[in-house]
Amino acid sequence: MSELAVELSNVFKTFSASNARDVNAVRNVNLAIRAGEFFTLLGPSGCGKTTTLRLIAGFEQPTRGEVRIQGKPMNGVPPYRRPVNTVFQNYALFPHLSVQENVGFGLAIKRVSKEEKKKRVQAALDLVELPQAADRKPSQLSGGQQQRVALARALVNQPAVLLLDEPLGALDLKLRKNMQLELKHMQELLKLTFIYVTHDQEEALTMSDRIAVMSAGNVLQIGAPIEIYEKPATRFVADFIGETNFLNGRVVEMGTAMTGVEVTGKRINLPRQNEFPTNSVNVTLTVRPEKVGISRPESFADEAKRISFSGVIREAVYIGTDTRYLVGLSNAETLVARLQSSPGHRPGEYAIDDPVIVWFEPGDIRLLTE
Amino acid sequence: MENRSRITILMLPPALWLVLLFIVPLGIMAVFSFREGSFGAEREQFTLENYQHFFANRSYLNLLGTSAWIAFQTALIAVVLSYPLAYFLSFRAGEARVTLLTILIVPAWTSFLLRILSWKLILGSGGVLNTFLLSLGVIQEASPLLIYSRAAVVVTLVYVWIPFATLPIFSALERIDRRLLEAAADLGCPPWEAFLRVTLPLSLPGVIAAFFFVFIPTLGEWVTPALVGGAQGIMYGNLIQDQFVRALNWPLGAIMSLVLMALVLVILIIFNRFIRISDLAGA
Repeated sequence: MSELAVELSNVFKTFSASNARDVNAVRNVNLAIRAGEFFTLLGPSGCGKTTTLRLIAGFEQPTRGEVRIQGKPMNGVPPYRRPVNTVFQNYALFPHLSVQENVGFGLAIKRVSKEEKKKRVQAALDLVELPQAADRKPSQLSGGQQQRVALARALVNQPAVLLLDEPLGALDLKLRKNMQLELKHMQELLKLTFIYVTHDQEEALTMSDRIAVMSAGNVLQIGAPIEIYEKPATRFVADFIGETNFLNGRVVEMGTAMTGVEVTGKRINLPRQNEFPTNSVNVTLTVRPEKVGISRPESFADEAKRISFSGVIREAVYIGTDTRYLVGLSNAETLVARLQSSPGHRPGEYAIDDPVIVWFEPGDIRLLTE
Repeated sequence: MENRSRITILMLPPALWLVLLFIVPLGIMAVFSFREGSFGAEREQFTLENYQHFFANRSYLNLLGTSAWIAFQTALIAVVLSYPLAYFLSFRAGEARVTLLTILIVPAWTSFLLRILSWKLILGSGGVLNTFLLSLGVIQEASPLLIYSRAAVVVTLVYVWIPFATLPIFSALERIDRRLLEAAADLGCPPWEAFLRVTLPLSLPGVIAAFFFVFIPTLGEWVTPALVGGAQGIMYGNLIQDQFVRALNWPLGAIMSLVLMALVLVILIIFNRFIRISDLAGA
């Protein structure tokens, strides 16, 4: 049994607004975050991810349910008695203190000796590559540097769990990409538990060991990036993470190993998904654009297992390494296909109004109930 | 360039106002301080005698010292009393804060004289406080000491200034990013320590502003001491008023005024040297 850093059991958080109905920010959230894990809470704004983080930090108390950190119940424990530290969205650096006073803030409160404090502050500033900024004020630093100070200020306390609330949100794209990798390296180096809140799905996929996708206060799916991307549990997850296609279908046969589905008037056989409920009739099929192939009708090799539909190119957008095609199917539904430029596919190979066959492997299709 | 001329136009009215009503009168005062008398031929005589007289007579400077001490006490007490009030309004009052702030300020809309005279009713020999203490048996006969004393001046002025001292502190507290307090708690700070390490230092510019809001006008105050101060509670401002209104010694009055202003300037300069207000704000 691996050690759990943070556990949330049946946690609800309701905010009562005056003159308005209550807001259920978090509904029945269950999380078991392992020690040393990079765990991401991912979702659009207002999905409850930040509230969940604040429940762990102690800035909010759950309306119902229990929060445990390293096995200890945390309900009623104020933030200043929890073994966690937070990197805030807008850094929340103390403007009246120098960089080294900011970083040493937590140690000063714990009455750590002067020499040790100095040593640890310097080590933390070295870690975030800001050793020369110790005497400056936060206002004299760039956004990226402030971000590093905020990180050092949290890490210097050697917390059991580091909470990060969209820490890279205010940085420009290039800096953000660099910091993503740096954060990930730091987490692996320090073997710390990171709980990371973001609305950026790419960021989540790049950095996380596991991701919890949230929407409207609910956790929809928890899994490794590859699971979340390749095997989305709900339509929302499939849609939120990356681009995807949806097709409407009807279940016509439920076999032990396969499911027969009718899509755009054509019957196809898909491998059985164990987690898929057996009583659903109307279903949604989803397939990622990069899993869709395009061929000319005359050169299409109709291999037995492939699923194929005939269609017409409606749109072709060249985006550098890829070309993004929109293909109209016979029943007015459309599919997006992303074809990489390669010796087999040159940009501009298919033109608008070309009749084509779109195809994919049965294993690349997911059945969703909603 | 265009921006600059626009600023010039905008600055013109207030600049004119300051020159006409502040710089020019100040100049007139400075001129008067070197004259022999206020009226007639004496007006035209240049002399330094008034300065010699002023600095030779220790009682003038002593009274200035006393007045500074009274102003210091008043400002200190007003700030100490205003801080919790402003803190409550900013951090605890929630949606009621605007209402409560208005209630705090409303008395300041009534006549200054009225508010001071009302303290006569409280502190006077037949006043509320004396009657109350008599009925409790704490004192045997009505004490005249409650009014016409230095303490009466301080008590009355503190009352008058509290709304004005509360406002800058309140606005400094309002400017504090509440997330900083969350950050402090996150780093292990219990609430009282977060107050000492974050809230108090960040509100210091407001506290200092409040102190000088009270200190400077109190230093030149003459109405309150005239009404509730008696012989004991007389302040430097009364002395100046006497020179202009009763003694008709305008040159001496002008010198006294200039010395008062010089004192305020020196205090502000010394203060600015040790603590730069912009530093405190972290700007």
